[in-house]
Amino acid sequence: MDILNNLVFGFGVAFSLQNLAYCFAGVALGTLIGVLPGVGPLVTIAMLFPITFHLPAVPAIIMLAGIFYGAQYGGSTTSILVNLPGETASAVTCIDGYQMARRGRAGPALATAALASFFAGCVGTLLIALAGPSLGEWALRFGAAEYTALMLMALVASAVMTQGDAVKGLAMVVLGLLIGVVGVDVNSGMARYSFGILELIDGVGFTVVAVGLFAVAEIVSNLESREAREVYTGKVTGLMPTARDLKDAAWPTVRGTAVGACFGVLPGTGPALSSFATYMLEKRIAKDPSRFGRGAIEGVAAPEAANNAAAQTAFIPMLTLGIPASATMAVMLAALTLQGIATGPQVMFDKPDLFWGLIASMWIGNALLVILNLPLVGVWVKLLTVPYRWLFPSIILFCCIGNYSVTNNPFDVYLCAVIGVLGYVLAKLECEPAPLLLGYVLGPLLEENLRRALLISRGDPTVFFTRPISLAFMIATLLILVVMVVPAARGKHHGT
Amino acid sequence: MHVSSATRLLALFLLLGAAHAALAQAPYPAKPIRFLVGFPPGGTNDIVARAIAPKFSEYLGQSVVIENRGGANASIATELAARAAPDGYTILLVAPGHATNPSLLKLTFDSIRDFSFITLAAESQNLLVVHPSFPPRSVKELIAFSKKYPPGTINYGSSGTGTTVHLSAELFQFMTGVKWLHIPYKGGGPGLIALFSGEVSLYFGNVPTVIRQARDGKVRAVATTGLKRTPAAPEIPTVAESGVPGYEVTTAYGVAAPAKTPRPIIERLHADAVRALNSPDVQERLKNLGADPVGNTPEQYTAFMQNEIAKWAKVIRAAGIKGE
Repeated sequence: MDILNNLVFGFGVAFSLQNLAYCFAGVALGTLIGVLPGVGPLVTIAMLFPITFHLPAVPAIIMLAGIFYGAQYGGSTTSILVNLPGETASAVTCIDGYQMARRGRAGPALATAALASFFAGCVGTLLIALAGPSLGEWALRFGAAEYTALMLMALVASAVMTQGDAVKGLAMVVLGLLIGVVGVDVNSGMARYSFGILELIDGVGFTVVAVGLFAVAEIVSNLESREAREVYTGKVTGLMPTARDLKDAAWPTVRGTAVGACFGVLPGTGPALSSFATYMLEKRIAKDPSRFGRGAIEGVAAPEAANNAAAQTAFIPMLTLGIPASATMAVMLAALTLQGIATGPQVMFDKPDLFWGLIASMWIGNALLVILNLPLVGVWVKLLTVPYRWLFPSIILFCCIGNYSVTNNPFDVYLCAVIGVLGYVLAKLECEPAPLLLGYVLGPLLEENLRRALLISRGDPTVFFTRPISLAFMIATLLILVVMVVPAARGKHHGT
Repeated sequence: MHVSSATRLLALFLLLGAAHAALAQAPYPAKPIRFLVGFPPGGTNDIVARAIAPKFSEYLGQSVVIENRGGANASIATELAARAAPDGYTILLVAPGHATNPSLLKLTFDSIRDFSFITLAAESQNLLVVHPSFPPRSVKELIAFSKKYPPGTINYGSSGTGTTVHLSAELFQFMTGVKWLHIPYKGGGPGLIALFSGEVSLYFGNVPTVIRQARDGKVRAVATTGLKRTPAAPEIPTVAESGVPGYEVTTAYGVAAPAKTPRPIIERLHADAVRALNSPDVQERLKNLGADPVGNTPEQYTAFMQNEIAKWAKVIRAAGIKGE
């Protein structure tokens, strides 16, 4: 049992006092910045970057990694409590998590998020240890055609995101798509819909869209009705999930972990997409899909598990191929490079203390996160008893800080306000923000990969059907379409 | 006593005035200096700035505070610098895109006339790597191989349109007459993965990002893009020495101040920036990043910038790349 020996060795490294301290500092800081919208792991890691010059490599990377996955834990807190997505990946958690809070079940929602994250984090770490290199190679089989087919499947499946009118849902996806294409086009280098504004050349940031649509719009709606907001604060029932909650959340957590682990390995898709994908999956297979969007615990457990699993497996391309899968990973890679450590398949042999120490520290970090987060649930729930007239200015302030900190440019704050107004208008029209956000995430990815696949195939569309992985996704897409259309047609037949 | 309050007030004003005058005449720099960086924290630009800033602060006797203003390939920060007061308290990390942005974007400032260039801080090269199954082993073989097939048969990847990774290939095609097909990716990571998987055959990656993969045999190194071989891999020939004389692409990071910054201040900034670049700490950090510290004179740097802007304008026009 080589792995076992290696893990024992890794725990030996991670359990040194110094490494434990840095691990704790990392996850505590990660939780904190996860709670703040916009102030993401990327900014924090980059800020702490100079400190790592003076640290040995192992504690440095343990701390930076802790910030990264710690942020995935903290991100759900504000999503659930005040509909404010603290992290990109937590936007999906807003949908059902916030509804649970409105029904007085903020405690169980927060605890479920923490436990699901813990489970997913442990499994994700195990995957890195057991199958890191082979999963890294697997990611290489995903070319432009495979990504296109995957995105197409996700976009078709997105129809289940909508709660009410399908036409409105579709319109929201398209609107999101349009917001997503603002900025420089990858293929031609031309700026689209930028109206000559330099700030728009890089597109509209995810934080701007998510915070505007969810948090700002929600606040505007709440302020409109004087008493509606106080309703749920009185009846907070139970801090911890009941046995039934745990049973309901168990399988969604497992499925979320599986979906998240796959997306995490694929560069460029990341935690945000994984949480959307798993949410759609849960809603699709649920016995009663109408519960989703009204506080279904599965809608919290699955996406939270997915984004945490993805956060963990995102280390695989970096550690085994030496390639960063995201900007955050790029900064961590730079931290290692500056220490004179080159990552790649040989890192396991060149620097076993780094590789196995990091993996063991992730387990410890995940355990620390649960210990840190569960007692905090009570504190967070208390926050809801703060009168709304004090709560909402603070939320707005956090929204502004978060948006400003991404680029240090006030433009993003104004843009978020504009999108907040848009979100309010959409709420009045009973259009939901989730499909819009999904269109915003998926649209540009689909376009980018579709055009790339066709460039590579020299315009031959059969490429999507001749490559096996792509073909499998295409067949799955078709099945989803059939499953969606058939009951609808039957329903019409019966006159319901 | 009855006049004392007025006298005291007068005395206070005089004192304040004197203090103000003293501050105004205090030798430069009398307060912290803002160092604008055109990318968010964590990118190479930011890391270069953060590698230099501590020593730079130490020698100037004032802190050099990094301010990240990301966006539009550094042109948002560059515009801020162009519009800042020319008092020596705002300086800019000149990004590699400074030479290409005038040809790609509609800028509201002049990339030469609105700046006092201080020193070229560091340069790094790109390395042409190919998929291991791709037959050509040298630049000469690559040119011959490319000409054997119809134009546009071979795919090359890049980290985005207008990046040095892309433009290295464009300059190569411009100077040799071969024609490849450009497949742009969003960032260096996805671009490299595409090379690993064979989706593209060629890639001009920044030396530090591809050198290890080349040594591991995941990709094959063909040539570097500098005029001289890179100290990081002296065994790899340059494109220029392999049959394309005059071919040169570097990723250059420099320091500049707004135009009309007084000459003595420029000289002070230049002296301390060069001292910082020569300190062993900074040299080692930059070398780990695969960048070679430079530290030339303001005149040399200005001439370099003028040349680069003219060169890329020509290549970008010839390649038919349209920006905004």
